[in-house]
Amino acid sequence: MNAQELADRRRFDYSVLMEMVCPAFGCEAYRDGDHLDRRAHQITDGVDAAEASTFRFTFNIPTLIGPGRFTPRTEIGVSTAVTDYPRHEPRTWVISKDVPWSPHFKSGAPVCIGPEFWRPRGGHVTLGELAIHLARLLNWDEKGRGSGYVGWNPAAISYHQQQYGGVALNPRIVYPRLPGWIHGTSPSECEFSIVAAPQGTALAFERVR
Amino acid sequence: MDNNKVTLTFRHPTSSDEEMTASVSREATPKFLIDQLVRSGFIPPIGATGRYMLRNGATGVQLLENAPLTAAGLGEGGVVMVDATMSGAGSNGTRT
Repeated sequence: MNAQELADRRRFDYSVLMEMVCPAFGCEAYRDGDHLDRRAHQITDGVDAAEASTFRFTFNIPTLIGPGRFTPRTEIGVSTAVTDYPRHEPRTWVISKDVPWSPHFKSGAPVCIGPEFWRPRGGHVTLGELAIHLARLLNWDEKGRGSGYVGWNPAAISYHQQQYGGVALNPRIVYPRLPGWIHGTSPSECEFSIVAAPQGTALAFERVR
Repeated sequence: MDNNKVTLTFRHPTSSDEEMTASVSREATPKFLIDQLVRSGFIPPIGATGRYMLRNGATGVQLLENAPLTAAGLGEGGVVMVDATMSGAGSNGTRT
């Protein structure tokens, strides 16, 4: 992906994310990690969106931080300043002081989003879908991973199984949603999410109305 | 598993070893799916003299353009053949 294509992709990511902000999800965009850490020079309009490479995702989704202990909010950093983005997954890390007590989260480590979530899709996946995926992970409502997964915290899995029977912490959470225009079908509920794409498939990301 | 969606594999019209797998709504129509396959770059836009059609890979039955997948007997793990048809001289697809 050349510089212009990457700039287009970043504008696309920014546009998707900003339309997903909702009570459960907030998003701030920055040019780099230093700005994110200092909450300085936040990108707030589409003019600078081509430079938005680093994001602060805020999830207002109660999640476990220990046996019987919850935090109402989790902040996660996301950086697309990685080699071969978007074919390579963005870097993720937990910003919040309280790290979710979960097989997917560990202090000082990337969020374990799963090997099937990003790379097999050959770049045909957006930061918006990542936001939804992270929201589900925080609510213990992951799609697609079967039983037997242990991750970084088998004790948390055991606790969740015993206390919640393996289902979502809060089934009433309304997750952020992709904007309707991403599928070119504004009011439709139809979805088309690429699971695996052939290598070399053109990456065409554009906003359609 | 989300019962409102199915995972389907789409087979390219001219390169039969090229496939794309996607999770799609059961209410999706072939017209919607073709639009998404073009937008994703899996198949190229087709000119005014041609059109894409989808076919159930298991039965060979062509899917009606605006009928939802539920009406076409396609379920989880189904294979969908993408056919390109062209009309007029000089086309490289199936003549109609």
